[in-house]
Amino acid sequence: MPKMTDPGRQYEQTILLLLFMLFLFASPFTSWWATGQYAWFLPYIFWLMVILIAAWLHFRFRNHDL
Amino acid sequence: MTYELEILFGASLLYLLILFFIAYVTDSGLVPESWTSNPFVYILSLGVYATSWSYYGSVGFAEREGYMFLTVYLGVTIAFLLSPLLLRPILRLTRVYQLTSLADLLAFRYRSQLAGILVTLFMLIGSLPYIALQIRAITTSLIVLTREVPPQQLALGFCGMLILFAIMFGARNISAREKHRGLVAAIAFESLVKLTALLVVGLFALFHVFSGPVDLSNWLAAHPEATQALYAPMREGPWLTLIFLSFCAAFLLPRQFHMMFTENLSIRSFAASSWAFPLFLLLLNLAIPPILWAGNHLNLEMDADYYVLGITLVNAPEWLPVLAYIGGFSAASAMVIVTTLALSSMCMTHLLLPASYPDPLLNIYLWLLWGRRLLIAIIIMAGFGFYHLIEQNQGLVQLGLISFVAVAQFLPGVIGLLYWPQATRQGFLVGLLGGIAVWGFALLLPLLERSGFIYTGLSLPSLHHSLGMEQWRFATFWSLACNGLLFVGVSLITRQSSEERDAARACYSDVSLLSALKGVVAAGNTRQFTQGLAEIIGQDTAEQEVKQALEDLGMEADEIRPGELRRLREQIERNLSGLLGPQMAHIIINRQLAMDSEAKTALADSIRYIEEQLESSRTELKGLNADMDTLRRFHRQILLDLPLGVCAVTPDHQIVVWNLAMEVLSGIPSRHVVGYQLNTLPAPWGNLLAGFAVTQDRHIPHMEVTIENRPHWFNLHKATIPDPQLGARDSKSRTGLVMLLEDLTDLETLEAELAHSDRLASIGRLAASVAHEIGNPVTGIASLAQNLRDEKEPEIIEESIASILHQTKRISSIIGSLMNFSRSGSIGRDYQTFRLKQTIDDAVNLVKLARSGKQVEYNVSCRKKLRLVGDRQRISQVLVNLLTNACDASKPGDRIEIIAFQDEEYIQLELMDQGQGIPEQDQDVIFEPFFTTKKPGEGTGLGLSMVHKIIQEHQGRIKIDSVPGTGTRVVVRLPQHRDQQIHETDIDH
Repeated sequence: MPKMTDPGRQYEQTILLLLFMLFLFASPFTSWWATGQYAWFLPYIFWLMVILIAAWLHFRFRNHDL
Repeated sequence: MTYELEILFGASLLYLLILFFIAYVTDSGLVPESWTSNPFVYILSLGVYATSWSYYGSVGFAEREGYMFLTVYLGVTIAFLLSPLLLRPILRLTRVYQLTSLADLLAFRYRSQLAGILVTLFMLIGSLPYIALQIRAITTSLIVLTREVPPQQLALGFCGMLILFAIMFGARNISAREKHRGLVAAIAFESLVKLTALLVVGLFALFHVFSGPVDLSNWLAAHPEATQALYAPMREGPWLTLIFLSFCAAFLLPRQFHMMFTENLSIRSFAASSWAFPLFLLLLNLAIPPILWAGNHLNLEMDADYYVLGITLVNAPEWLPVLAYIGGFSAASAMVIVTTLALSSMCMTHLLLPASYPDPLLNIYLWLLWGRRLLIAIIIMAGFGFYHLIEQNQGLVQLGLISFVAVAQFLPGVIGLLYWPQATRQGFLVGLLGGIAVWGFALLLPLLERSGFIYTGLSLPSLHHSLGMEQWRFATFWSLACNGLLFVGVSLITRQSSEERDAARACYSDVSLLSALKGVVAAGNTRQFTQGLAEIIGQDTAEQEVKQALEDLGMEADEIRPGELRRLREQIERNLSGLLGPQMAHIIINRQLAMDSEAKTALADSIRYIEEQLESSRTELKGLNADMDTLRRFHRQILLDLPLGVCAVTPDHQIVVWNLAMEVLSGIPSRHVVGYQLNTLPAPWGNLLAGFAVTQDRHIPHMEVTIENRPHWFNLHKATIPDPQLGARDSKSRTGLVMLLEDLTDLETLEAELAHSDRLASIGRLAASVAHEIGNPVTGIASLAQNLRDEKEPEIIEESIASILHQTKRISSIIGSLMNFSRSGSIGRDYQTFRLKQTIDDAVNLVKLARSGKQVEYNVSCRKKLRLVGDRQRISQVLVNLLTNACDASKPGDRIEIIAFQDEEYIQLELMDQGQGIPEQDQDVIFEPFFTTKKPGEGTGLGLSMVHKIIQEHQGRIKIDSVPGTGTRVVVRLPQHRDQQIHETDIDH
C-alpha cells in the first residue's frame, strides 16, 4: 500500500469518514434501519465497517509526526 | 449458587497482587521496553474508559433503553476517528508545553489560574459520584454473589489497596516527563481482563444458556419483542444527545485525558488508537445483547445491571462467576486509580500550590510528591464518603451520565482553544460558570434530592415535559447552550491580554510558535538563570531544572547567545509547567527570569527558532501553510546550496545564516556560529566579516585573505535586510545584513597558469631566433678560442679573451632575459619597486631576438630613474606582448616609439608603431580572449587579453588608438604609489 504523508489529504478523508459514520448513525438512514426488521447485529456491522475504513486510512497515512 | 465472601476477597486480593507484580516488573525494567511501548499496550490502557458502568451497567442500560447503550461507545468512536483533527493537536500541546491535565491545558490557553481552579473543582465534583459508583459496583457485585451485605471494612480495605497502588505506581516521581510504564501496563492488563471476562460470559450465554447461535436465532424468532426492544428506544430516546456526550467524554474525562495524552509514549501508538480503540469497544459490547437475552431467558430475578454475574450463577463452572466478578473489579479499580491520579495532579497544581506555595528552603520535589500522595488518599476516601451519601438505588448509568454532562461543559473551551484564537479568558470563565449552574440545577440538585439530602420543591420532570425533552437532552442542551452562548458573547465583547494572545496563537497554530521569542532575557548566562530561579524554587531544584532544560535543548552550560538563552527560558517554563502547572510556571518565569525591556529584537533574531519549530512540525502543516512551508524550504535550499558563501546577520551582528559554501570556505560548521556575534568568529573570519559589516562599501573586490598561511582571494558583497515586522522608520535604523563571499582563489590560480602558458608560448616563438642569436657569439667564441691556441702575442691574447668575455656576457644577457620572462611566477600579486627603463629594455631585447630580420627600429624614451610599483614580471609580459604585436604589424625599416613618463598620479607608457593599424570592427573585441588576426600557429589570442587583465590588476587603464594604414598608439596608465616612489628615490640617491 503506498504510504501517503500529505496531512491535507488525511484530513479530507477523515472528514469523509466522519460524514459516513454520521450517515450511518445520525441521519434519517438510522431511523430506517432502526425499525427493527433487520438482524440484531446490524449496528455492529455498521460499526465494524467504520472501524475497518479507519484502519485502512491509518495504514494509508502513516503520519507519526506531531 | 453462592460464594463465600472470603473467597471473593481472596480473589480480589490475588488480582491486586498480580497488578502490583505487573506494574513492578515493568517499572523495574524486567519486561523488555519494546513490549511496554507496543501500541496495543497503550490502546488497551485506553480501555480505562470502560468502567463498571460499561461492564455491568451496559446490560441494564440495554434492558431499559435498548441499543441506546451503544451511544456511549459510538461517540468515542467519532472522537477517535477525528484523531488527526481533534486529538493530535491536543497531544502536541500537552507534549510541547508539558501539560498534564485538562485544567493545565485550559489554564495555559486562557492564561488564568482561576480557569484552572474552576476546571479542577468542577472535575472533582463531577468525578466523585463516578468514583462512588465504582465502589458501589464492587460491593453490589459481592452482594449478588454472596447474597449478603459485605461489611463496610471490606470496601474500605479495597479503597486502601487502590490508594497504595496509585501512590506506588502513579506517583513515584513528580516530573511530567516521566511516564509511568508500570501503571500503563497494569491498566492495559485490567482492560484485557475485563474484555476477556465479558467475552467469556458472552460465550457462556451463547453456548450454554442458549445452545449456540442457531438456538439464539430460534429464541429471537420466538420472541421478536426482544429485538424490537433493542431498536425501539433508538427511534424515541436521546440517541444523538448520548452520542454527543460520549464524544465529549472520550477525551475530556480526567482518566481519558490522563491515559491518552499524559501517559502516551509514542505518536505511533496514538495514531493506531484511532481504529484499534473503537475495535476494543466493539468487542467489549458484542457480548451485551446475548447476556441480556440469556438473563431474560433464565428469568433472573435481579437488576439487569448485574446479569453479567447473574447468568454465571446458573449451571456454570465454579470459576466463571469469580472471573466475571474479577472483570467487574478490574473495570472499577482501573477507573478509580487513573481518575484519582489525574485529579490529584490537577488539585496539586491548581488548588494546593496556589493556596500554599512551599518555602524555597524545602525540597520542592519531595513536597510536591508527598502532597500528591496525600491528595490521592483524600480523593479516594472522598469517593468512599460519597458512596455512603448517594442514594443506593441510583442506576449505574445515571451517575455515569451526570459525569458525562459535567465534562461536556469543557467542550466550548477546548473548541475555542483549538479553533478560535479570539476566544477570551472572560468568555471561557463566564460560559463555564453558566454551564455549571445549569448542570447543577438540571442534574445535581435532582440527584441530591432523590438521595434525600435536600428538598428543592422543583418539579423538573414537568419542566422537561413542558419543553418536550427528556432529562438528558434537557440538561445537555440547556447547559451547553448557556455555556456556549456566554462563551461566544463575552469573548466578542472582551479583549485578550497580550499573554493570552500569545498562548492562543501557540494553541491555534499548526506549529508551536510562541511570540515570547520577542525580547532578550535579562539574565546573560545560565548561572544567572539558576540564581534567579533559586529564590523561588530553591537552589537544588533550580540547578536541576536548568540542567534538565540544557540537556533537553542540547546546550552547553556556558551558553551566552541571547537567542539560545531565550529558548532556554522557554524550556524551563515548560519543564516547570509539568511540575507546578502552566500558570504558576509562567508567573515564576516572568518574575525571576524577566525580559530586558530595553533590548530590541528583530525577526531575524527568531529565525533559527522558527525554523526548528517548522522542521519539527512539517507534516502537520496543511493547506496554504504547507504550500508556504514548501516554498520556504525551496528558498532556503537555494540559499544553502548557493555556490557563494552566504552569511546573514541580525542588526546586532548575530549570525543567523551560515550556508554550506561558507562552511566549506571557513571550515566552521554552521552549528558553531549561528547565534553568535560576528566578531566572535575565529581568525581571520571574525575581523574580515565584522569589518566588512561596518564598512560603507557594499562591494570589496579581490580581497586577499591569508587562511592557514596560504593566500586566498575573495570578492565581498553585502546588502541590507529590512525587517518586515518593523515599521519603515525602525526598519531603516535596524537592518540585518547579508554578506556574500565569492572565492576567487581557483580563478587566480588558473589565471597565473594561463599567463605562464602565454609566456611559454612567446618563448616558443622566440626559440629559433634565440638559438641563432646565441649561435653567433658561440661561433665567435669558437673562432677566438681556435686562434688563441696558436697565438703567442700577449696583447692579442688579451684582446681575444676580452672578446670572448664580451660574447659570453651577451649570451648571459640573452639567457637572463629569457629566464626572467619565463619563470612561472607566484599566484597573485608579487609587487615590488623596479626601474621601468630596464624592464622596457629587457622587453625590447627579447622582442629584437625574434624580430631581428625585420630590422625594426626601437626608440625608447624613459628616464632611467623612473620607478614603478607593481609585479615586474607581469609588466614585462605586458611590454613583450605589446611590442610583439607592434613589431608584427610593422614593415622592415619602420620605427617603434616607446615613451614613458610620469604625471601627477600616473605613470604613462605609450607605444607607437607605423604598422598597418587595427581595422575598426576589430577594435572593440581586441581584448577578448582568443581573439587574433594572426595566422593559425602564430598567435594564441591570449596576448592582449592578458595585457588587459594585468593592467586591471594594477588598477591601471589601457587605451588603443589605431588608424588603419597609419599606425597604432597604445596608451597604458598605471597609478604610481607616491610614498614608495619617494622612498625608493631616496635610496637610489
